[in-house]
Amino acid sequence: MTSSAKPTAVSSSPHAVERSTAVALARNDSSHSISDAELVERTLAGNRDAFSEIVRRHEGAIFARCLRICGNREDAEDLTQDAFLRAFRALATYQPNRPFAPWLTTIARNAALNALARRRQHARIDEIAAEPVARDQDGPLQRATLSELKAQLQEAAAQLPPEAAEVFRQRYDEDLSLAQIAESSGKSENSIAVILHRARLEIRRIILERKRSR
Amino acid sequence: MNAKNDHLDRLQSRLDREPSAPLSDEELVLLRDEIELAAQWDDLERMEDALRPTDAPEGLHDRIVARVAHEPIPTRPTHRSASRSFARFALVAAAILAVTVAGFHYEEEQSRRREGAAILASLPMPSLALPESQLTSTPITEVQAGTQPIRAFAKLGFKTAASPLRLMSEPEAE
Repeated sequence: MTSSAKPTAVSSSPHAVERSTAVALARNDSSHSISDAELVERTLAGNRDAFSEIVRRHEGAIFARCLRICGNREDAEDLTQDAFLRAFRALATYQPNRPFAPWLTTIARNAALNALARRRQHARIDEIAAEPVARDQDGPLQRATLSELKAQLQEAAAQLPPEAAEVFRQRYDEDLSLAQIAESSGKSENSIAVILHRARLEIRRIILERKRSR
Repeated sequence: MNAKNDHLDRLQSRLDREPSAPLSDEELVLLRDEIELAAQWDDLERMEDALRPTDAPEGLHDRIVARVAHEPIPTRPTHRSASRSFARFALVAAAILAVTVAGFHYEEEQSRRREGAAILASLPMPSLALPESQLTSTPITEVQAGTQPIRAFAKLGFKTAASPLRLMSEPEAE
């Protein structure tokens, strides 16, 4: 994942850009050699394949975010499509010196929250701006690439108390469900959920603290 | 603080199990209005993306690409168009300035003309103010020296020495 990398120089000719992207995609090395910001530039130069690559990289995260908001897979799929469509239309407003993933996920989150608010007119919930503002993308966890973040999370998890560290490891390294962890540890599922929630917040605190002290 | 933690715990449970219902009204409003809670939630989601990436449903990529295919390519405002806008602005500003300066000068000229016309209109005919006997015997320069009409002539740009009255009244050199 290279979402925060700065764009390198790109050819001004859309056809040349299209060819070079096609070659990179054919080699299947795009996630290493082409940053998200550069893919955006190529899309703006007329290369739709570059946007297809952006979709491939981020559709899973955007779908997951929409699913957590709307709570069913069909709506989440529709919202994911809408989010990418909005992002495509707003692509010219994206600033290449900022990380792309938080920009995109903020568009998706705001679009999903607005869609939910529209369905609940009885609650008179005001819509929020679909375009992300700078503060949405300012946190250190948002700026880090996913691979950088994963390394930071694993490092911070090592500082957790033993019980929390074990639950965290089972959940993320072994990909066990809460029920499976509860069964193996002899605790209730609710207790495991509480331990996991606190572990996440503690890890976030450790990472933010570390960034502040640097 | 505890209430916020409760909300965050409820939101976090969406990370641990696939949710079967949408966010409640309260959660929706909180995520929109409570900046700190929304930032925490964004970070937790981002952590989840890094630790346990989600696979998108099959075919979703193609459906998205098909929808975007009908959209025109967005364009970023370029420096060229920005400099063109500036040139257009500068041209309009210069034209407005030129019209303003020309108008000012025109108005000034008109004002001078009006003033001159008013002075000319108020100019008495000195010859009518003198009795006939005096008119023939007195040189006009003596009658008019330091009087209003001579000053008015001077104001209009005539030199007193060269004023027509004076020239008329000068005795011919013998």
